Amino acid sequence: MAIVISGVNNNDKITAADGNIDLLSAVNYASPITVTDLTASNKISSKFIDVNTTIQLGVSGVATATTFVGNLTGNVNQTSNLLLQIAGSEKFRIASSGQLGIGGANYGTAGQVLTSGGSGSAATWSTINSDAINEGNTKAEVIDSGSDGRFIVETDGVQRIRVDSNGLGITSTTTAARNAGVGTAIGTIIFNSTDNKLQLYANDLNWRGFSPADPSISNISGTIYAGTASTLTLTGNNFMISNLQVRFLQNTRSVDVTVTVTPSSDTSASVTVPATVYNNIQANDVVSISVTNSDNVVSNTVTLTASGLPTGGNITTSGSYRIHSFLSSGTFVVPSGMTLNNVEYLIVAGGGGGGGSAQGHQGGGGGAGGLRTSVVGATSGANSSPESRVTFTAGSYNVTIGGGGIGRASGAGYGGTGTNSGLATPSGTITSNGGGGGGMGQNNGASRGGLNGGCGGGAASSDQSIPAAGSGTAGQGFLGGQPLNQGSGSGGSGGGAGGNGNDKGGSVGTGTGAVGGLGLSNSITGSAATYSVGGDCTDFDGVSNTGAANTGDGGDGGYTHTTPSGRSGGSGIVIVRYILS
Amino acid sequence: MAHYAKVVDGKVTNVIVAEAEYFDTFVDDSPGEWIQTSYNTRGGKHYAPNSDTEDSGTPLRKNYAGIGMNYDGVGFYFDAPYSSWILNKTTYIWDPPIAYPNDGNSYQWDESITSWVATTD
Repeated sequence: MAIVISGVNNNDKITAADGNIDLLSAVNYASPITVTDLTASNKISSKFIDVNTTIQLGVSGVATATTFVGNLTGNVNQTSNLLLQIAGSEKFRIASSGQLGIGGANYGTAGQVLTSGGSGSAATWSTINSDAINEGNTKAEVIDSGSDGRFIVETDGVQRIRVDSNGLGITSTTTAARNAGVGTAIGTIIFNSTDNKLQLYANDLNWRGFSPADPSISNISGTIYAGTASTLTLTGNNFMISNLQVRFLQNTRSVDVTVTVTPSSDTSASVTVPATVYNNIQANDVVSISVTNSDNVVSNTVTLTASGLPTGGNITTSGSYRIHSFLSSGTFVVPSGMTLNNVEYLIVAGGGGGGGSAQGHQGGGGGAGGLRTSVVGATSGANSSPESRVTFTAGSYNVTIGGGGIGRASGAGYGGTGTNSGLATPSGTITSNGGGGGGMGQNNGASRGGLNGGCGGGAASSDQSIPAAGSGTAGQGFLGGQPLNQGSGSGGSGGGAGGNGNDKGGSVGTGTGAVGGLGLSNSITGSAATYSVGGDCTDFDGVSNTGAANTGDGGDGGYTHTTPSGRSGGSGIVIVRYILS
Repeated sequence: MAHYAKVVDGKVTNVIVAEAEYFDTFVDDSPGEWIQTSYNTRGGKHYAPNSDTEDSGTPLRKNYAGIGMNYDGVGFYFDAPYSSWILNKTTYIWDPPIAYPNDGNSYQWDESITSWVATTD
């Protein structure tokens, strides 16, 4: 090991023979050490470097124009305030308790924030509004005055959004204001107070509503009847497609009934007036009707005045028909304000009475009461087509039920002619004629022929020339029958609405009497029934019948040996039917 | 079901089926009056419907009225078949002045002799 000390001018050296000076101990330099480059293979290792009071790195001072390479670790640990100064002027400090000072011991006040002064000014402490952000007449603000906590957003001095305990509110805007507003971004939502809708500015640059649809009723057709069901048709808007609730309200009768229907379209719905309504109201009651659609929005209210119902006779129903059966004379009353269209009727007159019998000659059977009907598809009297249906306006219309003609006693003469039945209408009375009486059986003399009527009476037996049968009325019934032979004892039966009375010859025996002319079946009541059957000639066994009440059937003619008196005809009937609109 | 006859100057001009209350409102401006009549009354007796058997019903005005019959305030009756016949005030049926012979033969009234004349049956 050797240390070599050598030197020439500007090239003095202390070197170790092996290249490393392993230890320099207690070296005191008389002047600053100047080195071109201080290098070490790994580091300068020392517990500390005591540089007295000044550390100057670089020519100009501490760390100027110098880049530190690598991580600067460790703490800046000062026991008093840590200051940053520029040109001896303090700009920023961290005080011993962690306070931040700007330009000295300027720590601001609690709650203040540091606000940049921009590139030319120092940052300052400033106080911001804690519950509102304002700029001009636009702001966002949180307000909490007791229970009225809310957050609002205003632009141009107008509240646009509000959040409170009820939820999110969007301040209303009229259509005009909306259109006059600033350019609208797609997706903007407003409440349009003009249209009463929430609206969205959509991709197609149009405002589209998506508020619940408000239903409205513009018209209700149909009638509410006090006492019977009917169907109403509601016209309006926004009925939607299902679950439309229709409310019927009538305060005087404590009626408040809601039924749910399926609309036929968004603008139309039909509802059947429920029994809890029509059974609890009276004619002329005003009923309020409104709807609630499936968006649970209630419409306007439309009122209808309940109508009374036509009265008169025995009232029944069959299907959609309302039927008035007049078994006795009465009045068909159509209430004020009502018009009944396509009214169908059946008018049957009283049947004729059978003729009496004398001297072994049968009396003729009574002709049936004339029959007229306007029931579609039915057969009117004399097998004719049905008559035209009738329109009834409001009013009272007489209905007359004809009585059956009297059956005559032996030798007393013709059977009595039935009396007419009639139905008054706005265009006049429709009359069916009473059935003709049957002739009186006798050897000779007057009263042997049948009488004319709705249906003709049957001619009686006699020993003389064959008497004429009674004629029926066109469109009502057929003529009566005649005896085929002089002096046979057999008489002719009464004509019916559906067929002539039967002629008869030969002697009278059991079961050989002429059967009355056919009647006609009619289903105006909903059930088929036969009316206007001609009166029989009483059989030898004496089976003799009056015409049944309210059939218009003719009475049977008499026969001497058993029941010489003819029988009375049956009374007539008037039936009308219609469908309430 | 009641029947009423319209009587004008003692003559029946119409017979209808009606109830009494019908006439409370029925307006009939034509002359005459409506008189109730009984469908089942014949000869002053009341018969069961559709029979010749007298029943307990109350007869009304002698006979069931028919058009052309007469009414005298008591009962309904037909015109006299023969001028010689006499109106029976009980039955309001015309009786011949001579009773019909009850010998099994047939007879016909001959007004010219006011008697029954046998005929061939």
